[in-house]
Amino acid sequence: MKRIILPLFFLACFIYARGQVIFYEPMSERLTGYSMDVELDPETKTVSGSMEAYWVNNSRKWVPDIQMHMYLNAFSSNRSTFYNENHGSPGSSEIDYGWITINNIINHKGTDLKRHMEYIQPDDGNPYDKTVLRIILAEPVAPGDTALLYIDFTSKLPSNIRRTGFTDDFFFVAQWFPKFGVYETKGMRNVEKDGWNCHQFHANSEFYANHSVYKVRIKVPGEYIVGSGGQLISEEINDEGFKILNYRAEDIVDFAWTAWPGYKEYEDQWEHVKIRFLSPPGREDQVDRQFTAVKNALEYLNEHVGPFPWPHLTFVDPPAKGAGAGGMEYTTIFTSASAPRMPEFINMPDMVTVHEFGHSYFMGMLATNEFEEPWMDEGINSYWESRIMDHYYGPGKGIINHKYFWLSDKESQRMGYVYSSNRTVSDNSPYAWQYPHGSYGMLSYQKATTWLLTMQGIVGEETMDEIFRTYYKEWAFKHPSAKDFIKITNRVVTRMHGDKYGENMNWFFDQTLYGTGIVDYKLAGISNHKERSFRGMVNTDTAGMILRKDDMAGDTLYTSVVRVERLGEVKLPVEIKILFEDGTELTEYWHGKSRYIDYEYSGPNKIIRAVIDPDYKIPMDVDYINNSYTIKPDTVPQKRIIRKLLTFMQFLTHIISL
Amino acid sequence: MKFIKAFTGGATRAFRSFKALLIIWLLTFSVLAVFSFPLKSFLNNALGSTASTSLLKDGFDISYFFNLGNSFVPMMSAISGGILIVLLIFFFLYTFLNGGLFDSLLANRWNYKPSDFFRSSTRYFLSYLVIMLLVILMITIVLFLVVGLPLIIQGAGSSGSEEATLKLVSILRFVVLLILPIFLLVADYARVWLAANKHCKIFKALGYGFKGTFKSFFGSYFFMLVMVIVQALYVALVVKILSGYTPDTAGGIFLLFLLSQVLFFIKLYLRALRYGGVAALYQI
Repeated sequence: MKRIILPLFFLACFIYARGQVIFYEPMSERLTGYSMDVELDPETKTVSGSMEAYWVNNSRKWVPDIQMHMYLNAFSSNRSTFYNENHGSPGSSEIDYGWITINNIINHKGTDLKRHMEYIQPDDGNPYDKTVLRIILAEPVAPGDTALLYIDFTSKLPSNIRRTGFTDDFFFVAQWFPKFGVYETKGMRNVEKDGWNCHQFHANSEFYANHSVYKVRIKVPGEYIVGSGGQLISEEINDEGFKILNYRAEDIVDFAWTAWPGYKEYEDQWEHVKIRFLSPPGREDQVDRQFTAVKNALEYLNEHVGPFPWPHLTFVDPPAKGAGAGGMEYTTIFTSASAPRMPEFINMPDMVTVHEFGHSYFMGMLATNEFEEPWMDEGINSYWESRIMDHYYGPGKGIINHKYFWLSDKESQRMGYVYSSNRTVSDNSPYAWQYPHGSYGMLSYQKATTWLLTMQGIVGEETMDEIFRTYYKEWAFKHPSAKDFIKITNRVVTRMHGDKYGENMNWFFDQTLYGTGIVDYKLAGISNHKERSFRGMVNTDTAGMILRKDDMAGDTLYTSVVRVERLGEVKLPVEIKILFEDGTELTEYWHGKSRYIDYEYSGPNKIIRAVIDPDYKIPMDVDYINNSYTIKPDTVPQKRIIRKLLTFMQFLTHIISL
Repeated sequence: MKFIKAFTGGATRAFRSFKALLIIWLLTFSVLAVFSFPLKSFLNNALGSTASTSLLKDGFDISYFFNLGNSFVPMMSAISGGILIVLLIFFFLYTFLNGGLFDSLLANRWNYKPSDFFRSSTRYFLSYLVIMLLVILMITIVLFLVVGLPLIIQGAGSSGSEEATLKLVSILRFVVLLILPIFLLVADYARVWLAANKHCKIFKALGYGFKGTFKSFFGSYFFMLVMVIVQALYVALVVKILSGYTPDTAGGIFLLFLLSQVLFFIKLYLRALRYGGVAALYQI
């Protein structure tokens, strides 16, 4: 009993600390929680302090051990799995290396657990990798019981910022403390047996963790400006001139923070969310667009997916020297990436902000396992990024919105996929580090985005929104898997469309998510044959065999044929729009399963043009150019491009000749 | 006074050298047209009878060409590799043609013969080439010292802020604008001296290039500075005009062709004005 009462008391202190509560109704199960008191030493580039952490065993089994991420050890040698995978090195001098060490660890009874610690390598058996720590507990944790750990630790930040680290006096402190893995129970994410899910630190993929409560006290030199994923409870300067900041965060999967004396601070508000933005001096011209971008994303995801519950949000535009920290996501704190005087028509900073904020939903709230199913994190998030960007920054112009040239976010994602020579090397099912070399980014971000956009093209935007609203409603603050997403899709599509797309959508997922084939439909040609009047030898009663020529009455008739071919392996339903010379149009619907289909028409008008997928509903089609055919090709645009290119060359060659 | 004389002298001489300018235009256009044929036929083959070119009607959708799939990679490598070759060939070609142009500008008469143009081009080609290479080398070294080095030092400094870098870049841009005319003057005076003295003593010419530049520095320098600024503004104007004009008919394309060539001819004239101005200053 005592064993339970003490942790429960501790838990209660954590969750209902008076006056500091963010959510009176917890958003998640809160199986883990951390209370930390740490100090940043800018000289030694270390963060050290103590931590009280709890883990609740919600399984039906006794658990003898605990597994924790020790991510910073990825930077402790050039043979860590992280550096083996990216073929790099932490650096050449001692200050470049990063590591985390546990100075002391005891349980709630004061039993020293340090002797019972060991580093394990569940993913690759690499003995040099020390990013997963296993602690054998003094006594197993009973079902429903809570394990409490008191840890003193020191984290040395690496100089070569990859997600985390320092440059000079700039610090981005992420993946920095001993953090629990996720104890999965049978059935959860379709796993077959209970056990810890605690992956090593890899070059690709970052997150899988429980939603937790964080209480963090940070001590930094007085001149430092600090931003974190928590809500600031108090801030004071002590007698020694140090700044003491107290933060609280609830239901987030990781706690990160940044400190730099150079930051300029800005604040804005979106509905209930107080937004804080930290940016380096010299980028004042980027501030408005950054706030606009994050508010656009908040508005869009709130409307199309579900509410953003936290009342606080911090985002950071790292200075050039800390650019390695750019483009990272920690739910209630994320980093963008920008540059001074970035032209307005280039929407890259806005895109990074929208993308990284989107992770608050896809991984932050819908806490998928990025290690094992990276497309559910990056792919789904990129899909929403493309929708948001093209919605707010002009249809077809989400990334570049210049008067004379443009690029949509959807097309930039699609380009990454269709242009890649790796596009068929794997499906979307491997673990992040098991993707064939060089294909991880393209397959988990761009291919996934492209097939999600294709699914939207087939079932419609409204249905897609309903799928994600249901996904959010059922899985926010939990750990969904691909199969859970598919189940929801099947249920929603069937509810909204009956059996229009078959019994379920598995045929789609089998070909796209679990398939490697490509989509390529081709409009192979148009033929128009004039129907001829009869001319031939006929037998008459009176004159025997004579040559007869009939005159065709009325208008000339044509037999016209449009041939459509399927070049790719993936079979998707497509529309074909056919235009006749009198301006009439008709649309055919083809299931797309056979290798080809001929559409034949007879009438007074020739077919002058035919287009497969005229509304670009199937972005997975790797070649839009062969999707159409016309008997009168318009060569003016390409002539114009060539003419301008030549003029450009004329001027360029003349300029360089001095 | 010299400044005005350089302009009026340059403008008159360039005007009287219209035959040389026509030869330069015709030759460079023909060579460039030859390079454009493979690109034209490639695009015609790749696009075939597609109706999708309508996507390019209002401007340039960057993603469009990625749909060329397997053809895209060879096309892009052909274009990028091709551009380098074209730049190199045209560097030699213009160096060759400048011999005739300088001779024509110095002759300053209406009845300058094309045969004289080509004779001078051939005679001075090697000397002009070496002078150009040496001047480019000098510009590179000075740019490294004046621009590269400060930026490296600024970047290496641990306290180097973005604001300071931006300010430094603005200052350096201005410094480059001030320095560049000096080297152009050196190159132009050296070439004028060779053409005027009808021999090929490269280093003597280069020596005169410096001497001519600094002999009456302010008159020459301000003339060249104004010419550099005018030509830069002119190129910016051309970019604005041509990128804003997106014809969608065959007639419009022809008009684009005419317009672009008229604009390019004006560019040739402005360059000739610069050379002519230096020639006028030389002959004062």
